[in-house]
Amino acid sequence: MEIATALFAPFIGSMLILLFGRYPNIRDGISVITAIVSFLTILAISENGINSELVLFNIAPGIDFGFRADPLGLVFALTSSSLWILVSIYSIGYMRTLKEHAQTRFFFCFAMSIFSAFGIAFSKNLITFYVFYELLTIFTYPLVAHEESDEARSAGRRYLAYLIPSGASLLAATLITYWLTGTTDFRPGGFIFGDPEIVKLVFILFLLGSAKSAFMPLHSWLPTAMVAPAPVSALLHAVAVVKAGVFGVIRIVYYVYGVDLMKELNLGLLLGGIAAFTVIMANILAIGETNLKRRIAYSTMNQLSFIILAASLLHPYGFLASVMHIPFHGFMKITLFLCAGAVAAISGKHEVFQLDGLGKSLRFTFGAFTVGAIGMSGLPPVAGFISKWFVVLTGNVWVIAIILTASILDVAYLFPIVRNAFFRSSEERYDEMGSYLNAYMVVPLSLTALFSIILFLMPGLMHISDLASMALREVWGNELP
Amino acid sequence: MIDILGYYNYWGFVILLSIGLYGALACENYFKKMVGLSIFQTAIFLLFISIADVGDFATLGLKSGTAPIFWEELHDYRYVNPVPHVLVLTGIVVAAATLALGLALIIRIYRDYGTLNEEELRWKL
Amino acid sequence: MEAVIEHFPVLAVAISLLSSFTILVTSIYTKRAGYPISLAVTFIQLVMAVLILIGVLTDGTINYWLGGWRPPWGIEYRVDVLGAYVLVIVALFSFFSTVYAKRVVEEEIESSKHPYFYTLWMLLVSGMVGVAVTGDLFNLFVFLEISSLATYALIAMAGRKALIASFNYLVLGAVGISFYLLGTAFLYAATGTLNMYDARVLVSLLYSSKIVQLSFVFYFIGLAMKMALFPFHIWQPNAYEYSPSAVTVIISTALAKINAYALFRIIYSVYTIKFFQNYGIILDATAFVASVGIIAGSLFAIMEKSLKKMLAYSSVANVGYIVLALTLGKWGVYAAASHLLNHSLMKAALFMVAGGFIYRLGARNIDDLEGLGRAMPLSSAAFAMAAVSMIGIPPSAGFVTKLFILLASLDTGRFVFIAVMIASSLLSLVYFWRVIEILYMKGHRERMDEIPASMLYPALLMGILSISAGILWFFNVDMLQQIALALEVK
Repeated sequence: MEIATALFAPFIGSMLILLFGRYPNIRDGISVITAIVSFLTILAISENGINSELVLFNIAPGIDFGFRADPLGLVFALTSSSLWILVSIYSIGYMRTLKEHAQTRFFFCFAMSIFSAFGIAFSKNLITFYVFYELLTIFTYPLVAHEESDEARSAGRRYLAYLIPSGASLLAATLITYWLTGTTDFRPGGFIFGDPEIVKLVFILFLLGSAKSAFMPLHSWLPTAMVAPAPVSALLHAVAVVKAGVFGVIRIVYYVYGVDLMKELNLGLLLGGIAAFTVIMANILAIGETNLKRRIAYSTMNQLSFIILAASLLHPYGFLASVMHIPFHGFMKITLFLCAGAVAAISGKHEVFQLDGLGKSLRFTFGAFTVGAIGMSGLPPVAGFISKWFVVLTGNVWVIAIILTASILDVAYLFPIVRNAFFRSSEERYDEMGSYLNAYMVVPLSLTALFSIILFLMPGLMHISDLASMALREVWGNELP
Repeated sequence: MIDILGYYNYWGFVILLSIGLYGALACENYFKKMVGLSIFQTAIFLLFISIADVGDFATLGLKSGTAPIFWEELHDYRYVNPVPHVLVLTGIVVAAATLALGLALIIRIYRDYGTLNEEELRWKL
Repeated sequence: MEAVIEHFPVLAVAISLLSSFTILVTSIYTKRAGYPISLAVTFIQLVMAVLILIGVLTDGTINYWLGGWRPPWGIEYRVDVLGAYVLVIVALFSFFSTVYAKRVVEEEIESSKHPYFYTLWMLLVSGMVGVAVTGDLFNLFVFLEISSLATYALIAMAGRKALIASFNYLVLGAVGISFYLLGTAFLYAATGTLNMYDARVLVSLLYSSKIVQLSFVFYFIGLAMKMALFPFHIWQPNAYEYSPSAVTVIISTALAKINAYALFRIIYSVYTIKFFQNYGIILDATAFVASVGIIAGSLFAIMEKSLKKMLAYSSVANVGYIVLALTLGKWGVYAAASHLLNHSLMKAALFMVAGGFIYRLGARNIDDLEGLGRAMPLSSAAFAMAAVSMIGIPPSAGFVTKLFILLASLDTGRFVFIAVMIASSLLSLVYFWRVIEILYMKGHRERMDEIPASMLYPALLMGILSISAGILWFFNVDMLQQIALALEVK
């Protein structure tokens, strides 16, 4: 019952948004209220409804269209829903400051995307997962192409050109899994079996189906998708869409294949290789990028592949690192994007070299940006440190070396922005608390920065560490070292 | 040789069918298309009539050419299945309707475009 | 009640036949009676069809002997689950097309011709209803011809270019139906019966007979021409493009499905799946032709500039889905049966909106639709929903078909069709998304009037259904199972 509330609140909310499209205040109010309602329900589930199920109907023998709130899914759902509250407040400020067109479509598609993200989080089996995976693609398209310029349209086309074929590959993999095993229900420790060659092939299909996690070479949709309005880049391309991708990878590795099979078929190495390559390459590309949002997007690719890399270690600490990094990275990265959006909305600047001296007037914004940058580099006292530390604990020298290199590169392209913003001089002055609309933007981004620090001090906030360790116990069973 | 020629009605069917199909699909003139179509349909009616003659049913004491409603009384008549004839009657009605509609269209097309040549009309479409 | 329902199949045919003549006669006194009579009759047929479906689902097949003559001598109307289901599809789309027709017909056809339009319209409907209920091969031919002849004339009513389109359709359609007749002649020569269920029994002894095999080939070619299966689709784009908008809607939904249903019937009720198991080559060839049609239709659609022609090519691809599904066993039957409805829902919405754009703006080309997403939000929404469903995004109706076909190809071990389905999905993404992008993401237009209510609401209903039917199907799998059971497919 709670699952139904959590899942369909955004759906009903989006319908109401469509209905009240002519009254902007009611419409935006609905959007915020829906976010709060779904967050509270999901919090309630993670307190006393873990592993509750909801089955809607049967699709084929062995496949239900159903949902299950397991610990891993709850981590993802909690991340998306908590950040949605802040971002929906932020987007009111952002959209109104810039006087954007088609705001109703924007808020409608936004709520539907979150609905799809919740569906992905709570999916009981691969088919349900696939259905929401595709819905997420469709409903984020109008957000990517929102600007309706030639650039936005071509970004939208590229977005679909990558993600829809990828979805088709996921469907093919799902159906072959069904054909092999007669079921598609996720099970901790995996359920797939069959001819090793076919199982390997299916894994590759699954990987192609995870283009949402933006690993190389299936990444180029992500930087171009940055033409979207800042709230979209923030919530969808830092949290919902890309996290759905990595969440899918974790699901497939640990709940479809399982640790033993992954080790037996040596698939961890394949996955880790791709991820390690992306971690380094994304950072190198980021250094050469001058557009602020696109630079942060490359940083996102780096961090996503960090999650995949941690997961591919098939080690309990690696698993913990990847699961915990989903919310941690969510909070930190959203801070960066919200800052970039606020800078663009208040001062109209998009390029890295234009930001000199802005830190003097946009104090909160760049303060928050600093927190995000520290977190990205994996330094204390921000949450990003914890997940990197877990990976260090696995003791895999190669991976530690890769992560250290990546962190150094992170510092190299994020810190100069902070330095130039605070220490170079500029004639321009902006008032970041000047109007209530600016406050709508600055308050949420300060909050996300604050939470990034609080999560470092109390990883148990919103039960995140509890849920992660429950998932760990689920996956490893009694063999936990 | 005689055996093959003995199926002359079937040969007629095959020849008419080929002529008709060629006319309907390959002729460029719309009017000739309709003629071809009519020949094509006629060929099929010929086939129906031919298969109605089911041949000798010696075991039943029937010769080919008997109408079945009479067969108990009149053993010496030739047996012919009446159903295909009925089908052909219906088929002729349908064919006539098609022909009429096609000709009506041809008249309208000629009035509007001044030609019935397929290539020219396709160019104008 | 049961006793009454037994008479419904023949009544459904009779009332529309009679109504078409009534419209003609009343035209002496008034030119306005056509629309109300058609609307009333199609509505009554819809009610009857639904009652028949309920009756068949609860009490089993309805047999009606015309004139009391026992089959195989007399003509038998036989409505099993599949027939009743197709009858509902026909009645449903006839009714909504009629609702839709009012305003477009007033616009596109001069008022003195309205009675003739509705006379032909009701003839078309009675032909389609007849095909759905009949259990006799020759009777099926007659009803197919009634509906086809009415269609040729209806298309031609738009005048000018439609005349040529109609004539081309007439020639190919008549050749196609003659091939059907040829098939019937061969089958009759081999079995001596015209009743489908009698023929089924007799054919089962004659699978190795060359005459029987040849008769199937003729049936297949003939019906392929009628239903515009690639490469016999050449008549279809022009016919859809130039015919009156209302006619496009009814022929792309109900009539196209009736032709597909005829093939469905012949494959599963006359020749049965065992015939194909004995002659795998026929099955493979059919599936191959269908696959080529799916891909080729999609490619043609991508190249097309005119909206209605693009939709016509998409129909070519979708007919391919149905034929492909027919070759794929039990899940294939599910797919084919569900796609009869799904595709009608989607195409109805798409053609209704396309006709509406022509009605309001005279916009025939895709490029003319810039900015309509915000200028006419409801019409565009109907179009977008149906288009998303055509692409096969879950959980829409189009996805259900694709899922069933994918499951079917896994079930029968014919993996190549997974690739075909995925490729066609991606191709349809290309051509439908182009339209959606132009509607919503390009250009700016001031808010304008929506298409008239009698056109908008049917389209919107179909659009919403083409999304939600994807979920509704899973509550109705029972019916698909009963269809498969009635056709003895396991």
